[in-house]
Amino acid sequence: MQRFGPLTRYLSEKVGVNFEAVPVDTQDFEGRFKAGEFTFTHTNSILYVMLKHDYDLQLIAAEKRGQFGPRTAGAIVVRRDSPIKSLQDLKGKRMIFGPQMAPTGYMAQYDLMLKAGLDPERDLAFSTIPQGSFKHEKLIYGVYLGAFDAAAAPVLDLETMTREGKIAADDFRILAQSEIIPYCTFGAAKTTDAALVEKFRKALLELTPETTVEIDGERRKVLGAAWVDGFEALRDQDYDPVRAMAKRTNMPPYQVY
Amino acid sequence: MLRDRFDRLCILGLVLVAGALVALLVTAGPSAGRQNDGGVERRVEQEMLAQARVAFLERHYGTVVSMRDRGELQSALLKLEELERQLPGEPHGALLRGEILHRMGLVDRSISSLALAVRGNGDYIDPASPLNQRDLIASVAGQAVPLLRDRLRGQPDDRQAVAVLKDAYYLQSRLAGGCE
Repeated sequence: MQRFGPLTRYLSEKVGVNFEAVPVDTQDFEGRFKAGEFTFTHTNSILYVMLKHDYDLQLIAAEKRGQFGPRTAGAIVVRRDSPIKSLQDLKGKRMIFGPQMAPTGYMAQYDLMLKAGLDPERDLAFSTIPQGSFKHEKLIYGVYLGAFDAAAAPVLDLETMTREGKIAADDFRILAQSEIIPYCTFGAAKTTDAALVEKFRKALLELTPETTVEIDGERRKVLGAAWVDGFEALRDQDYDPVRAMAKRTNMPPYQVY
Repeated sequence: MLRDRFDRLCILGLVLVAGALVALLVTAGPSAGRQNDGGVERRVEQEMLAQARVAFLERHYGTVVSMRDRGELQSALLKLEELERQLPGEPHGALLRGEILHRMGLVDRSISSLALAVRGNGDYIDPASPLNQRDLIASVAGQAVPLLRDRLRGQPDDRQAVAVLKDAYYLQSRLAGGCE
């Protein structure tokens, strides 16, 4: 949570409200939001779509990180020297996915496989989801170190790990990549005062890499601490590709049992 | 000092020689031949520098270009991330990124990268340069301007669109021959 400390302090100062950042497990988010525990939300794009659909969440702004700004994609990767050359070759192989509510670590790859005529539930010999923190890094290393044949890798994590020198671009082959979809998003509960939402949005959009706040006597860069390049105003229809993907993969809020 | 005719002749001779030297210094500039030699030298030097830069870029960015040409656009972008650590701020990385992002349909992101490349190296808009990419830059900027104007009509406070539109205008201005 230290990551979001400077951003929370900045928003409190700019908006004039004493905000408190609350870490929430993705699986618990909807229940806690419904119970009225939060006014402002910072979630991935699936959760934004769910909360918009079910509770008319107001869109504030999207977080910018990496080559595609406020968007990113999901990729299915194998080691460069793998005999797997196409999605069809994944049949009978071991694959590792990101958490089930991850738009570009699970849903996008599930969708890619369905589109290629593969059933991820039946056609793979084995599939799993890593536990604990740094799940996306774990699945990329899982393939790199040979524990799995393929991974559902978020492109943003591939970019970050390459930039940090943890992996090389030549280590992997990208079998398929999804369309580019919005990623982390700030929203506000429907009943939130419109002027407060606007102040919050303005504060986010005004952030620059040089913006700092004081935390425990230390000046900290707000965006740098949060691992974010900035914020961008998106429109609700920019999330339509996420909705279409969620429908195709039978994910919330459109799942049918 | 000028005691006899010989002394006077010596002094006169010295004055004539000094005058001739001064006249020579005033009137003699570099010959046309020497000027041409200097021009040729400069052209050769520039040519060699240009060739060295092209060879340097091919050596470092050849893999990116091969990946791009094979259609492995995401791998090419990852390779550029890797190269950014070795050659931070190299404008050619920004140029290739701009081209690849354009191929991926991300016109606004492409514009920002291309503007960064042109700000870093004007050769990309110089028709005489081996690095000339005028057609690409004109095409992307031409596509971007109406898209961004439409976006701004719907969301006038969209700072990102404003910044990218400025980049697109900057590129069009440079293409038209304007200064930075």
